[in-house]
Amino acid sequence: MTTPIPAEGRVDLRLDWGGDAVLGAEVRSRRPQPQRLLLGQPPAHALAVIPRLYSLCGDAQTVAVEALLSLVEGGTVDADRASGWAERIRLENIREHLWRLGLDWPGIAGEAPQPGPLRELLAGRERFAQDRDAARAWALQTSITLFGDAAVSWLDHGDPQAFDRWLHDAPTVLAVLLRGLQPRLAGLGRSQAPLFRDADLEPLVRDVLPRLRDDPEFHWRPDWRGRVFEMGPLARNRERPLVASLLAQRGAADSWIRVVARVLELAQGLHSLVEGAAAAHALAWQLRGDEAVVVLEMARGVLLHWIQVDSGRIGDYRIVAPTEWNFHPRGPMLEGLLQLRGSDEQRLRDAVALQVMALDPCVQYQLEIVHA
Amino acid sequence: MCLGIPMLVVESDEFTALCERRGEQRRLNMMLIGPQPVGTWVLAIMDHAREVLAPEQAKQIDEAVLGLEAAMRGETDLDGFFADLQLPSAIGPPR
Repeated sequence: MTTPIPAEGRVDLRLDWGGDAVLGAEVRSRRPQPQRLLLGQPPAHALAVIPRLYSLCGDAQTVAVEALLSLVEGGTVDADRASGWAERIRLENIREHLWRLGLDWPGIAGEAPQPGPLRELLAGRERFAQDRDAARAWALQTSITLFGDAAVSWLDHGDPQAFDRWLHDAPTVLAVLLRGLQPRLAGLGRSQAPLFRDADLEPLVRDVLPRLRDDPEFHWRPDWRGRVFEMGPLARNRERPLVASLLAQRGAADSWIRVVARVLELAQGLHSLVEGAAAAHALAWQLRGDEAVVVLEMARGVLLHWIQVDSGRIGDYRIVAPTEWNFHPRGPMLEGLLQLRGSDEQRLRDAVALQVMALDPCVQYQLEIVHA
Repeated sequence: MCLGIPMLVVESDEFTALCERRGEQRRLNMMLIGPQPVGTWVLAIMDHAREVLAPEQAKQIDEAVLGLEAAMRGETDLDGFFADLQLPSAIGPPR
């Protein structure tokens, strides 16, 4: 695991394979940090540089920088902008979920991709942010395409029985895809890592400031009170009946529940657009002296931006993305890898691909299998 | 979090395009933006082209990525990678 990091970053996975079981594993996530581009510049420089670079989740990145600048310049987060931020992040989350479920999972399952709704969202995104009627019409059509027009009774409450009926009976391309994936994903990538909830954002942001200041490596290997959390759709929806019942049935998070949680979140995101509901906003912040930190929920989990200002210039700036938690050296990905069994190397590679996709890193991964 | 890379279409077919950035070639899936003529700048997110970029936008992102790569190599004079921002000197006194 010594090859240079590409600018786009990479997750490196290593398996020590004994021929029929994995005997050891390593997980390492490496992504470029912006701090050296920002050191010594005025804080506003971050708003020009960060969205330009980190465009995969560019809306969430932009919101994090704007909130941070609002803190540094005005001492508080500008509440008037909160609904606009929430709207941007809702559309971006829907976009990312459509990407996984419409392109990536069909690719891995050998099914035809379904790029239509995503293509329309990309083309109409700016219009949708301003024009609720246009967003509603698109969301309604997309919801029917993905879930059928049976008004999907599991939407509001995430009712497990209704979801099961939909999964087994619905004729939509998404339901067919999920029916094919279920036996491959159930039980794969099991992890007992603690699950991070929206409600944890406030206590996290209070605790994390001294860690960022004192540990220059924190962004590579984050923890909270010594624990490495799973971030993302499963974690933040863990109390919804559908996810909660699957977790209770199976006794642990796994790749299937991760995908179901993403499907649930996509359905609810589209439903909220159809209903014209305001976007929910999960963002917490802390300002202390010359430092400020913002944490917010985005498609893959919690995004954290931290700035330290020194005489009106950026003294330090770091970003911790959800990939650092899910692909932490002792995080949920590692736990899943260590449970892999099998004597066929290609099947092992396929199982790893499924686990990775379910945890959804924001970078490509590279797998090395060492024959122990 | 991660990066989108601007790439120039050098060969195009209905579903994919061979794209290039500073000597590196990559075949991108074009299903999200449709076929694009040779000479178009696109934003590559992993193996997909996600957006068509105006040339000026592509140049700005390209220079920012170059700046990041230089920073990762340990270089310290990075202002030139953000020429359009007219930065004050990073080592000068605060304004």
